[in-house]
Amino acid sequence: MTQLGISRATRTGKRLVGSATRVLIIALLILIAVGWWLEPKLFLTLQNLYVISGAASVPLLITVAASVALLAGVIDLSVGSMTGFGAAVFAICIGHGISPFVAAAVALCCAAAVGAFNASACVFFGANPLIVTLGTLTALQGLTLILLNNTSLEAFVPGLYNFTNATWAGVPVLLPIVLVFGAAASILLAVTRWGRHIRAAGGDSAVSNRAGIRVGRLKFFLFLLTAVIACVGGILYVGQDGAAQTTLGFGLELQIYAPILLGGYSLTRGGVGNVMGAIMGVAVLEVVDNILNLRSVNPYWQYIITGAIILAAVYADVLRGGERYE
Amino acid sequence: MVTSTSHGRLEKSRPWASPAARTAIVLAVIWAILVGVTEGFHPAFISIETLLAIAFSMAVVGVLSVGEAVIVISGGLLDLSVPASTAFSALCTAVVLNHLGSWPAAIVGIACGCAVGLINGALIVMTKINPIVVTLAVNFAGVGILNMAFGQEFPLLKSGLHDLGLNHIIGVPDITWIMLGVLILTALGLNQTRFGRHAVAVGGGSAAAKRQGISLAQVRIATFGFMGLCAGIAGVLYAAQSQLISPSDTSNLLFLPITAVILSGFSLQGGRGSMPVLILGIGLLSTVPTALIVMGLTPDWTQLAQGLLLVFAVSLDGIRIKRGPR
Repeated sequence: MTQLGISRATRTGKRLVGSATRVLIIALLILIAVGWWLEPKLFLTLQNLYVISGAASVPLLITVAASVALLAGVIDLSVGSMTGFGAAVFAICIGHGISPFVAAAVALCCAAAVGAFNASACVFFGANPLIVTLGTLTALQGLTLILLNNTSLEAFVPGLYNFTNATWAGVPVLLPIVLVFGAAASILLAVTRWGRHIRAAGGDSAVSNRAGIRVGRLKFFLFLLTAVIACVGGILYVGQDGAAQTTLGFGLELQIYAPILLGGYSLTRGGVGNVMGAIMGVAVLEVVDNILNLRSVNPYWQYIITGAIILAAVYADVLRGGERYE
Repeated sequence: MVTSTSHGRLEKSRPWASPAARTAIVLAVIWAILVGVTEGFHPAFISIETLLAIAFSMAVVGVLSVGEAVIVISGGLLDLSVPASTAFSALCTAVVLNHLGSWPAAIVGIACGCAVGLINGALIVMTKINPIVVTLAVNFAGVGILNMAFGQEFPLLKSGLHDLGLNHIIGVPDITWIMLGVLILTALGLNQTRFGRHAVAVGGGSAAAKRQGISLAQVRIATFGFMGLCAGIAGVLYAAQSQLISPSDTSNLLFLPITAVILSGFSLQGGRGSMPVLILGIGLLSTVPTALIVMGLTPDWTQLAQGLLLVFAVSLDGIRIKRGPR
């Protein structure tokens, strides 16, 4: 519960942390300087920009959807496995000679069904979403491995391959499209009534309910949205790689929620944060990732850094006056 | 019994109608159905070998469940760092075992588990972050550190610890007796000692308990430290039954204990639950993987089943919290 009186720690925290997005922009500039200093020949090149934006596009797409949902207090840790699951269903349909559009429709329907499953448990039964979606995460991983029979499945779709790998002035075409999607979500949230309802439902769902907002229905829809967009991400990955990998999407959920939390969102209360912050968070994490890759650091360092970033970001939220545990 | 409910009069006149007794009966019936169905599919299921296999997996799952039960009943939500702390303990046991022998190995293993638990407790008390988030991040970072420090697979030499893992007393493996000992001691500790009753009181209502002069920080550090102790014991028991250990082996030990605890009637709200019923929950959840393997299904199916069972348990608990007296 948020406290009524603002403690001294909260005030100091507000001064220290400030607006998350502003801090992230400064952090990004510092990181770019560090990257340039460490790898002067490799870091600031067009090819590296292509590598970074290619790796960032799909996570960014899912991050935008997940950040809209988190604004209403909807958290879905199963997005990572959902990406792998969607890719598997799509690839299997392609393998059976079904046309890509129908295959995509089948995959999206499966994703919507899983989203509805998550939503029913969390909205109708009032179960803790963190734990429910953690369960779905494992279940979907198992289901993906069963569907793929434990081997990667090739599924080459020429049109999708050309689209996902097309470049425009050295940047994958996908990136500007995703950024436009993010900007649109940001504007919709700020301007429309629907956006205000989402923020209100996350801020205090009981009060919003009494004010006439159908919070249950809204949250149900947002669970569906996150699942479907994660599935779109999976289909795009199949386009990029020409196959559905068994390990696709492992750990992606933390790659998505860590930048969202960095961007000023709160895991335990909705209503705070904005989509631009989450997008900046993705940019910061991808640059860190890229620098570690260029320096060929042991990949397990990324686990440790992600863990530390999550704790630091949530602690920053506590200092800003977010929910304190006891 | 550690049950603290508000169903006063009814419960006294008809002890079988208490929530704990009802949960126990339901669990026993489901267990019997599971065994019956598996026996129907595969008539050799009820045999000494399968019973031993179940008893073996009950040992590790059981000790971890006891730790989670203490966390849940004291209102600490959950500890999701179990895979990291158990693997840390098992790997440290293996290292010391190969150099110094069984007893030092067991002590070092338990101490390592304890250390992770105390780190969790300290982080929660100092940062006021939700325990689910803290332990999720600690697990993620911990798995990264373990992979960097210990490499992929770590061999264990033959030793006295392995004899402990293989010996039986009255047909039941030694390590299962150890698990039962831990469970009984914990039940007595929660029920009979002042500190144990304080922990249950904090789970029932942390604000009220604080007003009574109970230190929440002490309870949190002690309960998470105890969870670490249990993970340490589980790690030693795990090392006692394996020849090769790798840091990712324990990843499937996260869901079984949590599901066992919640299905046994421990509410995530805290303050409620019965240790004797937990034995049935542990037995049921330890039977599931063995039953699926006997039915000829791959481990991927076990993963799917574990995830679905967890979602089912948490949904059940959600309904219980919605209906029950606040």
